[in-house]
Amino acid sequence: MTQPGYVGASSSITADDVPAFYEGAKFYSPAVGDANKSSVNSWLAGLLDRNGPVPLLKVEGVPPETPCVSVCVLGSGSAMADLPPAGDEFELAVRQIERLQRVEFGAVYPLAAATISALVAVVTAAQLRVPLLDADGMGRAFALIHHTSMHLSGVSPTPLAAVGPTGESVLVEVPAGPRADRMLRANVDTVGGWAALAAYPTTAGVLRRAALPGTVSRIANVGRLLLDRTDPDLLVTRLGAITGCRRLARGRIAELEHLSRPSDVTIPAHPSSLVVDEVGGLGRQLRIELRSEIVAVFADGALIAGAPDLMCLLDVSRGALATLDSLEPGDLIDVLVTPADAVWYSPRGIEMVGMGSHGIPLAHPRRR
Amino acid sequence: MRHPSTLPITLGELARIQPLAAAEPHLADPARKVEQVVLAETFERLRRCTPHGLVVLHNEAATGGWSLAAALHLAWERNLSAVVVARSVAGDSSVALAERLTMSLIVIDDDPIDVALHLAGQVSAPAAARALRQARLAEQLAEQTGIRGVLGVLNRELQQVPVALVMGGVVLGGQSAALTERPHVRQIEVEVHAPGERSTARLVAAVPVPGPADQVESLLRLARPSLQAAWAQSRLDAAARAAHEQAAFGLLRRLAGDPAPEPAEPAGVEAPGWAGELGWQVGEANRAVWLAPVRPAGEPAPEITFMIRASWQRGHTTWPLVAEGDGWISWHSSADPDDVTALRRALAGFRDSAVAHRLVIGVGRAHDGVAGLMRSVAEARLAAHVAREDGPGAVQWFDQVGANAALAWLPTTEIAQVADLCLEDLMAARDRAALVQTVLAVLDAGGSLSQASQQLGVHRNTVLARLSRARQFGLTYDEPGQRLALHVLCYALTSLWSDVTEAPS
Amino acid sequence: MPAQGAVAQIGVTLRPHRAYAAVVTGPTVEPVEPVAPARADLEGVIAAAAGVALRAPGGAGAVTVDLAPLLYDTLLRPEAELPPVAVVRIVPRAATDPALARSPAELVERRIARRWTVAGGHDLLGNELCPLDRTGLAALCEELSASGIRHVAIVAAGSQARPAHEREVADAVLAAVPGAHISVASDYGGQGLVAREATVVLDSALAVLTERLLDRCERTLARLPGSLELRVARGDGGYSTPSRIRVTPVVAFGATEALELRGAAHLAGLDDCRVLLPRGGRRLAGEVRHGLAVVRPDEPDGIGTELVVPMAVLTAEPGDTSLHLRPDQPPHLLACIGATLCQPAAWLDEVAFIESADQLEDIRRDAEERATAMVMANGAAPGTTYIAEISTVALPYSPSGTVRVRVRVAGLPDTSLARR
Repeated sequence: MTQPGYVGASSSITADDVPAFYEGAKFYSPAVGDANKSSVNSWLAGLLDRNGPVPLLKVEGVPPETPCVSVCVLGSGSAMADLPPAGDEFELAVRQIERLQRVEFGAVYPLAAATISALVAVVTAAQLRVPLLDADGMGRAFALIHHTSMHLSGVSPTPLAAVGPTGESVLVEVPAGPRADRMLRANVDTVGGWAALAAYPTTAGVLRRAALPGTVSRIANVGRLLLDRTDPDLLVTRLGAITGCRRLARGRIAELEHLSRPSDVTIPAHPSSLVVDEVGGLGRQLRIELRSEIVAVFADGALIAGAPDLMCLLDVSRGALATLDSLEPGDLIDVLVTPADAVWYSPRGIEMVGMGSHGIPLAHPRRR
Repeated sequence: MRHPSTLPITLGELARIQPLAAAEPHLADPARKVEQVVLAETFERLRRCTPHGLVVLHNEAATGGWSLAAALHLAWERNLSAVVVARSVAGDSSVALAERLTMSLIVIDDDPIDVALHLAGQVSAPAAARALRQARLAEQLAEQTGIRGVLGVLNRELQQVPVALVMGGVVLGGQSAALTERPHVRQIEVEVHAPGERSTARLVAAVPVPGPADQVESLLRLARPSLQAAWAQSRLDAAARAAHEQAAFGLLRRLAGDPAPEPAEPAGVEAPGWAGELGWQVGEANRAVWLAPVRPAGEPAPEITFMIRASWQRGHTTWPLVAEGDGWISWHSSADPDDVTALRRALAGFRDSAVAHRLVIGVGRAHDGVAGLMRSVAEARLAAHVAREDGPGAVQWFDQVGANAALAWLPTTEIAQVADLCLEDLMAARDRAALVQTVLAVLDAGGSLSQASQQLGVHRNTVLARLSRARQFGLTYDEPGQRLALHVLCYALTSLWSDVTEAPS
Repeated sequence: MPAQGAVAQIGVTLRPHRAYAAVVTGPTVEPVEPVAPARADLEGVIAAAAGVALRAPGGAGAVTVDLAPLLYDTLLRPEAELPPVAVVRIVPRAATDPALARSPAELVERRIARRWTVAGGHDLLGNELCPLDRTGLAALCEELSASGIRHVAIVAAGSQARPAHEREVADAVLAAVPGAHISVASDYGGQGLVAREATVVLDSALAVLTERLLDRCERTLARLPGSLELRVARGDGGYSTPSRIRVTPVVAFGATEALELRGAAHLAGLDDCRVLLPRGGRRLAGEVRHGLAVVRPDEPDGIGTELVVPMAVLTAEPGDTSLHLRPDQPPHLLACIGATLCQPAAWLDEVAFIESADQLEDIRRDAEERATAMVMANGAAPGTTYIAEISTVALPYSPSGTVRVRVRVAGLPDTSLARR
């Protein structure tokens, strides 16, 4: 549905778009709550007011030789809420790579067009006064920085720079992409639990084949629907029309189990599990496996959805997304599932971000 | 010794022996057979399980809440018998899911590999596992000293197979469901001879068909020695108790009969303390029950008393049962004279035994204190006499009998002899019974022919015809001077003849 | 203790231009309207309500006051006579962007006369990120004492886990400005520096007004016969003793909505229900679960920033409201009824680190015990406290083992306090 202010394929992002942007970004990674929503939104809105709207361009609309760099928040949204940015971290991270590579980036794109990482990409573009590409590397949020379509296309995440809220920074260069995340995690804890990351420096020409297109304008449109705060049933129908999401079940949270799977230290957030009693329908017992994102949904023990599907919870009584850090027994929720971008269902995609990577050795329901 | 069964072992059986005896079972169906044990380390292995297997989850297949949920679902899809899992993995929600899928879930504290190995041995050699089970059962049975205890052990062990000890159609202990005829159920019996006992008791089990009939029978046999010992012991105990109760009741009766300072208030006599030691209660509202044979045959044999006691006291262990004359006295005390719920329930439960032993029952009214109890006993006895008219199993409440009780005392045999002499023609007539019955009905109805014909179920003209024929034989029922005498005579003849027709030839 | 009969409880809600009261005696609700020449101000309605309550066969119980509407109204008025507040932020680096240096809420920012940033702070698990800049602190103290500002709000990153830097700054400020009113964020726990800062700023700004209001309530009660206990309704729908509220005035903020929800549920005789409340021409939906209003630390309607003190969760009117209560009674009456039903309550929202499931149990138990101690300090009778809600969730994208623990504890009033 087209509304005034609809962000189309080539447009720009203004201060007025910020609230919708925030909500839509949450849909694609409903991990962290709103502890710093107002301050991040006013930071971005202030920047867009002072520096003017950020142009949002299709990758094809940018000359192929244009140097581009991605940014994201590395680490936890809770940590970022408690230790807010001074404001220059992302800009500093990009400048470090510019100095190292002796280039000047002509566009910025989000590593993951989801959660706070989607917003900081706009922040960085506004600060650098360059356009934002309507593309990203995940189309949602995954746990590790090499879980990207760029990595699958052979683009190296490094050289990368991470700048913490303490003003401290690290520059990482690795021959094998997956090593970068391991090296960064320890540093992220040291600088306060989160860091501004600039990574995957490349050109627009490479991104034409390596990035997932249209993922930034998409979140603004999803956000507009969510801001309507309408009846949950209507909301799910509308979301389905633009994201392909559908409701798996509605139920009441009965129990939260922790450490429900063996924990490995390479992936942040320990496994936990949510038991939900389905309300109406078949009265099934749902089990929702959590990590930093929802990893799998079982109904009476049968797997009905799993990573790389994007699963999120809608707080029925509030008509808003429920974030994973604020779940409580007794809450009535809708479990929604949205297909991820096709690249994640390829054998390599499944191997990297599928349920197996979370210790669940079951075939994806779409593959059975 | 019979050959041990080689039928596949069931979940219920496995759950009774180590290692699963120490586990926390949530069995959806204990009768489910277990044909194979699989130690599943991966979901791939789980997917290859064949039906009726028991799966022990391990490693990858037992990593957390989700894995158990998924394993339960796979087990349900594969029609497995049970899922065994370590406690660290199983939460309340997993138990709830197992119940939802009607899948048996057994939670263990031991190492899954050890448990799987043990179980595999047990399942591959069911005979050995059963022998183990029998040895454990024998130990438990040996510890029991009472019939109730022995049957308790059997019924616990056999779970869905009810077992009862029966003698002469009366259930002495266990679950009477064992005697109920049902489709797909077969009764298995083992005879139990009590030492020095004339009659034989039977241990009866109702086994589903198809089912482990052989195993049940061998378990019943296993229980026989314990049961005989327990029975002998309880017979000894019962004999001692019967003597004790008889003496105590005699004392009570004397107490009530003692010349009281104020005979007008016999209720003033209090029950002595020793009555309480026997578990007897004598309170405000004592209602006596007289259990008596339809045909009195002198003092009943001790084993009959034993059986009547077993049956009467089921569920009411504190109710007295005192052999007295040709019957037994019992009573129920409560604060409310109108409270007869417990008594009615007991009487209903006793009915089958009463029929089997050809007993009738009289119930007295509720009276206060020891003296009141004695009065109620006398009333119960009268009522029992009246009850005899209705044959075995009949119950008569004195409240409903009243003066009619007098009739029960008529010397019917002697009166019949009078009839033989005075009404010779009538007694020779072939239809004498019908004629006497008709006259009695008309007299009972105060002379109303229509009422009499209704009660007899014959046409009014038939009644008229019979009356005129009876009058010819000297049954001149409408002469006021003879009416009482003829009424009594007809009553005596009717009750005598009805007794005769009912008695087995 | 009264021999028999239900005790009459008094609920009062203080609106900008007048106060309302109701007396609830068992199932009976009696709105109190002072008769002229009595006034409809705080003193007038308390006196009138006490007059009604003292006639109850069971005697009069406690007076529970909802100060929130007046507090909110005062904050809304830029010209309101609230004391200027100084804010000290303790973070590794000062903000470089103006929006990040201030509070996103105009309502909060308007009360701030001066801001200082002192280098320092910890991470969420209590590891020091930066040593406290003592030189900067000394300079700050000098400027502060010269500024004449007496109300200071202090917030340090990670002070929920390790309040050392916050305390050192507070001690230095107190030494420099003797008698200063200081609010430190570690007293409130919670998540998010901006929300924590806004909470202590409001705490400082409302301190004087709250003191004055409580003084008025206590003076009124002192003049009345009997010994009526004074209680103050909290944002989470519970109550605290006046002495606790004097130190933490911000917890009285936003109480009205939780009280209205509770009052509506009580009138409907329901323990679990959803209620539509009229608010500024539209209607908002709230929820009561197990007899308590559902509350969260969130962005209260119309504030413009999140706070870390929990308040009723109100959402836009949903499409299908067939199962919602629509109370007929005016909102102020619902609030008064809700106030009489308040229980002592406490709330805890923390981050902890676990390595095993056993440790999680320990942490939960520890949190429960501390919350229980807090609720007893808020006026609960020993032995009557219970855990109304508890949740522990893994913090996404945090190191494995990081959990957020939230506990809500309620209890029954300790009536012996009334006879102090």
